[in-house]
Amino acid sequence: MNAASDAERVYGGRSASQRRADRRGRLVTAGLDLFGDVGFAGSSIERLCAQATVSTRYFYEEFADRAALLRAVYDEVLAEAVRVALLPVLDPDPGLDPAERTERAVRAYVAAVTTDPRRARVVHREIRVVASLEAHRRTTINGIAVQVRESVGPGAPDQEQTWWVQSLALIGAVSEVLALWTAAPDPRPPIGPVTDVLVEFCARTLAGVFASD
Amino acid sequence: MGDTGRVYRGLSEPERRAERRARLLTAGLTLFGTVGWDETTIERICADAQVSTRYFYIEFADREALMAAVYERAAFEGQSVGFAHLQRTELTMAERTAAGIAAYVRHVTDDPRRARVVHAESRRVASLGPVRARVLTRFLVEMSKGGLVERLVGDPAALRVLGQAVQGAVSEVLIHWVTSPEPRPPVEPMARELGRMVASALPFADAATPAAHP
Repeated sequence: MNAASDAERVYGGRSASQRRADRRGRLVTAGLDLFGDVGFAGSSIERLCAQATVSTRYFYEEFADRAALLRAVYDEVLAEAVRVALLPVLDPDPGLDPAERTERAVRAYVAAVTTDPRRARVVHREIRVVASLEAHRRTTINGIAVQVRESVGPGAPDQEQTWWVQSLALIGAVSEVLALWTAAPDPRPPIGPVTDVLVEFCARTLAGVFASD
Repeated sequence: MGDTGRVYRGLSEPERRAERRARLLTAGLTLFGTVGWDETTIERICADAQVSTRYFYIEFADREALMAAVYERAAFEGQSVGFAHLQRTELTMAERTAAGIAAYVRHVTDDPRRARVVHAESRRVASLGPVRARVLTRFLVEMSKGGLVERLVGDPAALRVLGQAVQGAVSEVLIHWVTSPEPRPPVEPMARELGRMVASALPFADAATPAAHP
């Protein structure tokens, strides 16, 4: 029997490919739980597998190592948060000026990663611990920087080609503040005032961008 | 006669010790700043510094302690270069801040080991949190002396978050710069734009009353 027909075989109402997708999903959820609660350093593969109720054999079928799982969790959480954050700016209300669109995007992003603080910890703190993922983090952030430029700053003058400085600075500001927020001892400070400072930071720094023509 | 009073090669023991420590700090800056944190072993640091591992452990508990010292020294040096511009009383505080940040950026990119250690490699070491917090406090104290608006001075928690935002903004841009393949993006537009952004982010009391500075 070949692999293709094996994948079609059904156990417990599910095909092999569905069961495999289930296991992968459970591992990613376990990764978010453990990397986000105890951190990358304290999350062994055994512990991740126990949490996901998946055998280590199946772990290695999906991921080369713990870093590969962290990368998958990072990609999933960040893509969702960026999608949510850019909703208000991709379908722009013509009545909104760039500062208002930026404020909505920042508030939406912060809510997306702090309502469950494990999300903020994984995408802003744990990802930076693993040196082998730094190139991936940078590639991802550069992609987001382009999206920020296209959604928040089209039409802003850029004679000196510094749009990348503006985009990366905003991303870096949000990232640092949220990373340190997740690292604060319990009880964490309420996120509301922290978000307000970030919104003001973004509004003030971008005001110069749009005023500089 | 105590050991510390003895003189070899014209140097007293405390002088030789200070010299060894300085060589270890330089080797740390060079190796962390070129080959990176992961690839830099204590053996390699000692070989580069021409210091025995025994003397390494007299000065530093471990590799992380050396990184903390290298990071703090490079960060403080860079900050001092920037803070010098805060004394330029012919400028508004916003102008001084922009000049200070631009000078900081020029300083750490002039020797890219500094940019790499302070902004990239030091982040691999989780135990650096308290040192990083000290560097931020130093920045906030200087900014506060320049007359930030009352609203922020009276709200230390918000001021600290604002400082973290500034730190993160400068850091992410410099990480991009230092990890870019040659030729790296030009320094001047980056330095000026970061200066402008940080100065706009900090609300100074004198911005509302420019007439007070003829």
